[in-house]
Amino acid sequence: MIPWLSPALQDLFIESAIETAMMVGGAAAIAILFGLPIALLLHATGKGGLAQSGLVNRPLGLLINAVRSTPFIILMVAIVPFTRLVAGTSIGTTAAIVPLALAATAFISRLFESAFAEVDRGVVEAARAMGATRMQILLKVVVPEALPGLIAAITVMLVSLVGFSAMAGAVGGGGLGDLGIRFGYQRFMPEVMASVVVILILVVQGLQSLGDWLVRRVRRR
Amino acid sequence: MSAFPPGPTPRQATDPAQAPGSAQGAEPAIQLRNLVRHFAGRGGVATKALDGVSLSVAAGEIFGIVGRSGAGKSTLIRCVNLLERPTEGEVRVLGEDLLLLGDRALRERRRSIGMVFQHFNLLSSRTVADNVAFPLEVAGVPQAERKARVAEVLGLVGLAEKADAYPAQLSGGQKQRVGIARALAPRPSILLCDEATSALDPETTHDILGLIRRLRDRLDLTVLLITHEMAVVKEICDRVAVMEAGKVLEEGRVFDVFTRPSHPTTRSFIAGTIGHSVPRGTVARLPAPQPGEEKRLLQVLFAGPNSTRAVISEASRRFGIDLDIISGRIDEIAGEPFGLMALAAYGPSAQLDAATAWFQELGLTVTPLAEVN
Repeated sequence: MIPWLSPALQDLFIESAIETAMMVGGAAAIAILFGLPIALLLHATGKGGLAQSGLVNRPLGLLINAVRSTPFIILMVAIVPFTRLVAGTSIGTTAAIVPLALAATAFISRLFESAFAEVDRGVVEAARAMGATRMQILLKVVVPEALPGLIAAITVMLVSLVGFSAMAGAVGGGGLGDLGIRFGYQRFMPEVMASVVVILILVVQGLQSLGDWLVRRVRRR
Repeated sequence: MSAFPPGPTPRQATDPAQAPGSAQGAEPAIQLRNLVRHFAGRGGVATKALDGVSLSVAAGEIFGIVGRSGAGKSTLIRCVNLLERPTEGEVRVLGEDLLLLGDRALRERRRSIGMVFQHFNLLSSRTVADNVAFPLEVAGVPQAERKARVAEVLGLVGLAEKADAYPAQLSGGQKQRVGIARALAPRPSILLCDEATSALDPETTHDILGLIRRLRDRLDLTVLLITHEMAVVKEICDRVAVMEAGKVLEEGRVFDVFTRPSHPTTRSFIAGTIGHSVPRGTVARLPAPQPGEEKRLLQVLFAGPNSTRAVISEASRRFGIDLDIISGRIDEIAGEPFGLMALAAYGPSAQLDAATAWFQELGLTVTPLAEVN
């Protein structure tokens, strides 16, 4: 696969790639699952929203901003007790998914929220005029109309998660970034570092292209 | 038009003498009483978008509200289905006070009030058929029934072959047809048109207005439309209200408002549609009056029994004045003909005044002629 590396290192590469995939995939899945309802809530309770409520919107927004403004490396160690509660351990790939998912949820909630804000207000008004309930408007109008924006947001999040996952080595999460640090940097093996960087570039390019293609497919404008 | 299949018994064109608006006794389809709507403006100063508006729209009529942007007409039409809640007043639709209804009952009633928008407001993620199905879906109509009704209304607006297209693939006129089909899918008895043709070119506007009128005749709809174009009112409305600064300036049968406007704003609105404007150059080339005489430029509107009388030559003989016809034409509003003439009148002031008074006695409308560059 990477001919200039020893077979042992090649195995390590494959192992690390799987760990990265698990961390990014796991965190992304959780983030989308929680981020979608959070973003809908933010959107609906926001100014001029369908269920405007500062009482809900402001604390929720504050919490999300707090998570987003904490540097990831600090967030990771700061929530160790929570991680232990959820994952049963604070070390390893599974444990690393918890802080990654938390950071990604906060991140994607805002991205989703702005995708919802892009939805034409006239279309929402039309749905109201047709007697749709607020729930119907959110699920049948806002989400489908925002779909291209949502996919673009997921793409941005995946790319960021690939970057964040490199820091997961700090809690023994492994992954490609960790491999690059431990072998490429600490053991002075520039060929490992270069390979990691090249692979990550290819992964990010691939994700971006896939995301762009999907956006084009679902955009009917 | 081929797009519109002939109905079993299409209603005859409304006889203006018994326009639906003049129907007595029957409950109006829409009745608005003393509507006031405040908007919190900058620095806490409230502006009044509606300032005591009362209107009533009879069942089956096409009622137009005309006004410039900012006149409050958009707020007014949104008050009919309570997309906008009035600060004060009463909104009765089909005899029911909507302001007294709870959320669920209001949503229910909204389904009997179709609405068409200036920018169509179609869901870009859905096909034409799925857009039209939306109000039915929201109302919980079973899928088989939905499908049949969608096909039916798409046929009604002449877009059956576009069922699987997405809105982005359609022209403006086609999008508005989808908008109309969507509004009609739940079989409403009232159709609200919010500047429905303002984003369309004149020819498409004409098509869409024709469609709305035919649908009114066929489905016994009551249509309330707002527009800033007098031409739209002239083309399809039975009655009209002119709005400015949140108030109704005047209201009445379209023919009456056009031929006998009582408010200057109405007059300026009409001037662009049926009025006469004569180029400055033409006016400059007219001969100068004789010494002791005066030259006046007049617009004379003939409507009613005296339209056919030879009033020009008679006036000339009676008052000893010269009348030079600069231009003239015959037009029709809601099936009623009227003539419009631009005159240059020469003679002593007193005789000109007398002739003007005589014209007015005959029921003709005489106004000074507007000049344009």
